[in-house]
Amino acid sequence: MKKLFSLLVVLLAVCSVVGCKGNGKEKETIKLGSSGPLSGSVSIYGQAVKEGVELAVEEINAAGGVNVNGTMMKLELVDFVNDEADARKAAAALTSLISKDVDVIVGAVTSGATEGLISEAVKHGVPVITPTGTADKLTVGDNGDERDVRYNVFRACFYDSYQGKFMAEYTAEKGYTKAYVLYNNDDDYSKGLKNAFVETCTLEGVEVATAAYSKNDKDFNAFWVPILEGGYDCVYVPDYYENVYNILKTGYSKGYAGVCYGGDGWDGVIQQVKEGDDASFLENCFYTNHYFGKSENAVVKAFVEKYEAKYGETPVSFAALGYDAVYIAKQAIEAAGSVEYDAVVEALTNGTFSGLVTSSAPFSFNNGNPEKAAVVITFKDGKEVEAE
Amino acid sequence: MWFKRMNKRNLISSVIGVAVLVVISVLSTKSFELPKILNLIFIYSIAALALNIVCGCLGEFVLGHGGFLLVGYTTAVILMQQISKMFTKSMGKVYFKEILVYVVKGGELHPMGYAFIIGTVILAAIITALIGFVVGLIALGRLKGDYLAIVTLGISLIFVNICKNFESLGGGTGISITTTISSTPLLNLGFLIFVLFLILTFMGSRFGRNILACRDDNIAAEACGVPVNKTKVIAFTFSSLIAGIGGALLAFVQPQAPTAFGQDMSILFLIIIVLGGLGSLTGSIIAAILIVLYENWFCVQSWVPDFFANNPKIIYGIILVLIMLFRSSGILGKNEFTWNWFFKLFKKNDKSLKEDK
Amino acid sequence: MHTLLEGLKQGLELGSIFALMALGYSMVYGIVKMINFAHSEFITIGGFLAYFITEKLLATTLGSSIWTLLIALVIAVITCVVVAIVTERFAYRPLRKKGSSRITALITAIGVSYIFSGIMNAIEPEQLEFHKFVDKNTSFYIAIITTAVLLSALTFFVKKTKVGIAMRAVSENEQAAKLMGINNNFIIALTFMIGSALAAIGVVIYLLDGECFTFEIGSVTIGLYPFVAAVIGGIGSLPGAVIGGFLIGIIRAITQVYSNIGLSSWVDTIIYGIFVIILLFKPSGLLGKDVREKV
Repeated sequence: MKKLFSLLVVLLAVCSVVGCKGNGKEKETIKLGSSGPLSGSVSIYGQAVKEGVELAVEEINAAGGVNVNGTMMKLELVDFVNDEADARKAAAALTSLISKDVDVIVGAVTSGATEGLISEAVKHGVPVITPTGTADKLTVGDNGDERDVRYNVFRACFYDSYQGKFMAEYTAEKGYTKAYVLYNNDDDYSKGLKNAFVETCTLEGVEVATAAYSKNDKDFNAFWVPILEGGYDCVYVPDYYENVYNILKTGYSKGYAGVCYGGDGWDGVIQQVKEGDDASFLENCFYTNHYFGKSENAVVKAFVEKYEAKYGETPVSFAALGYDAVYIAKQAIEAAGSVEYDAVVEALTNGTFSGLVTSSAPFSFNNGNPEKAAVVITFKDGKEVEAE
Repeated sequence: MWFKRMNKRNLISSVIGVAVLVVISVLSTKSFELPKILNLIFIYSIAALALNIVCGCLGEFVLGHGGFLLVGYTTAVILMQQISKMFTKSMGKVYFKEILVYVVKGGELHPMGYAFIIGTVILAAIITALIGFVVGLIALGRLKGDYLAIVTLGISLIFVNICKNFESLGGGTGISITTTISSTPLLNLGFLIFVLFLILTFMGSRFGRNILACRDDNIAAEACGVPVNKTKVIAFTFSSLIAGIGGALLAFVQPQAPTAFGQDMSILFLIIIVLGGLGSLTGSIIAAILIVLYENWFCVQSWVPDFFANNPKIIYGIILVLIMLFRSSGILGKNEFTWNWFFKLFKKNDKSLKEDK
Repeated sequence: MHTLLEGLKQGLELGSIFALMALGYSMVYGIVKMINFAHSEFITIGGFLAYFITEKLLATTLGSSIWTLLIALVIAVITCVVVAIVTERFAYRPLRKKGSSRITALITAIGVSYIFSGIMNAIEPEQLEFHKFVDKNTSFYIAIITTAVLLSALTFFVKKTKVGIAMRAVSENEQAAKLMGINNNFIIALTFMIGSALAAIGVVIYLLDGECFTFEIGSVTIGLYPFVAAVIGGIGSLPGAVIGGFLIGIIRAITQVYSNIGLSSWVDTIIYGIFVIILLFKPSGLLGKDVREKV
């Protein structure tokens, strides 16, 4: 009987650990939860977002906290879960964050993981602000008709189609009549940009050819053959910077002389240039980004200075977006005057947000997407500069 | 029937155990983490059982299990999307959502929702079984051993490649329906019991005995008049039917990219059945519980060092090698789980229990 | 036409690298009847070591000379050989002693591969770029010549030397070979050593022209292709492995140079499709021997 009893005790203990759930006790802090890849091949983005989020939280608390109906409440980053950019792990991360009683989720970082996180988040109604999840479907669903289900999902960045469209218009504006897209078949970010680029190019009368590589491809020599044979002088490479730098270097060393365009995943290309490398080809390359780190804008300057002081490196746009996402959450909670899920979601839906690093003008959300402009960045003498 | 041969006390205990699980499943919806973990336990068990039929019972080695789960998953999502479109058109979106949407702010799944999920899962399973039949017909007759393993891996990678290339079949991050409709632990438990019943009935039948005969000695079985090739194809088809159920159920629980169904997932299920014991049904279930708890409960606990969450491959690798070196038959070997140990808790010297073994 | 030629050239280079790695798979499978999944991790270990040694040596007076490359290559090969011996000794040999089934052996191999892959991930999760020793053109000739030389040497070794004959004897019939006084364990360990040395050489040639790679180079980037090549050519057959390697390499490169018509996104389907079809018509591979099952 003793054994049975001890068995029961163990069982109960397990149940209580697994099934414990916060109850509505009086809050002292506003709890933020986040998730992103801290290990694996894209961990660098997770790290950047994490640093941006931590900086913002620290800064807001140093300034007194968040003003909720007259009482100043401190922000607390409850946990930054490592989801390894995996949808399954991000979904598990959300449940664990909810059980820790979070008020707002700032995450996840990659689109695939964010989709996993959202699939759970819509069940709980917790406001989700993804700093860098750019896939179109995150806020509106696969077919674009699910906004009423994903009503609690917002993002701090512009979305894939917007960037692709922007660059396609840029291409047409510069007078190119044929363009070539080299995209990553394993990555929705890359595919999303490609689809929007191709669509808009066709509308603008620019002829487009596409080619896909997979995540297994690290040697791009063969992929440049049809580009050089076909005489293209405008190549769109929507991918993250590691692959991008590799692709660009291969292409220009094979004698390509045209321009290359890209999206915000290029942020970080300049850090890939090793000492002694000839990277003058980068002067022919242009990409869209959320903000320009060396801009004269006061908010941007202040952010970059603080970031550099704290982490000793220049912030990439992922860090800026993580930082902004926290500020968006803060402004929404202040506007709502409460930390109830529904009130914050409503404030996000209807409010206007200003004073952010990645948008000089105030903006509001349309279907969860911020309405803000992209900047085009190019390279000069080994430094990034804003292109006209 | 098989359950007539079962020890009465064990049968009753099992029924009580199932009843306890039903109660836990129903009550679990009150908690946040529990339904998710239960769902995964039930679904992983189903998928592992499917693989165990081929690897454990038939003794052929399959490395492409993920591919069949992917087929089940994708078919279920597409079917459900079509149903959703059809009803949205005829009934109006709001009304249809009222019927289906269990997910928004955690309501109860409508009976109609249950019916939709069950129908979709069964259809998806049948389609997967058809594909499994074709694959089995082509591959099993001519190949065996490691060659068969590699060919099935190749075929599953072809499935992944196809789904990856068509946006409507998944693309890079996959298609999902969990924001429209998601299933409950009770439903998944129901399917698990149904699958167990199906497998036990199947294995108790003439086909089941043929399958075991083929495993133990191919040539002797053929000499005794067992149609070896036909038996293998039947077993393979049956296994893909169950895999289809598993994959389809997964679609109602979490979104998953086609690439997630590649080599790593196939190997994960291999780990599960090897850990539980090849050929032991209950062993697979126990191992599935352990793996799910490790991934979804243990690793997210704050007191667990990050090392475990960040390096699952090292842990799995060490587990696999140690099991193979020191207990290559897995947790239960070829035996099934019984309740005898439970009764032993009360009566230490009950001799009748020992005879049951 | 130029496109096709370019594709063939790159295919031959990639193919000869696949061939070197396929030889390892093929020899090990031929002798212990086990798919050595850990072979792909030997490739990764070789690449990593060559990278780290090169980075260290570049800072010294040796600089970017041929000596740097040779030292890196030799150290990578030696380490791979040691890792292979240790793996064989502590993971595979105990299994053989117990007379475990083939499924057990295969799962152990998967386990070993997981351990190495996990460790490599923990050491360096980010993408690395190998130092560019030669340009693309030179690396093409290096790859072809190395493969030709190593294949001939290996063929000579297996066919003519005493140890090579013992090796073939063990793969033919382990028990009988033992009775003839052959030290089975030594022969098997030797096979593992040769296989992993070839893997290390292959990966260094692959990286030679300044290639980018990650900890997944063996398990994902190169992945199963060498093994598929070995099976297509016929397990146990040295020229078969090379033919299979060239076949896979050329298919892969051709799909890439014709990527503008969408071939590259179907590369897995094409390669595994061909693989399945070949096996269905010739279950033992193109140059493999048919073995009848006996009671």
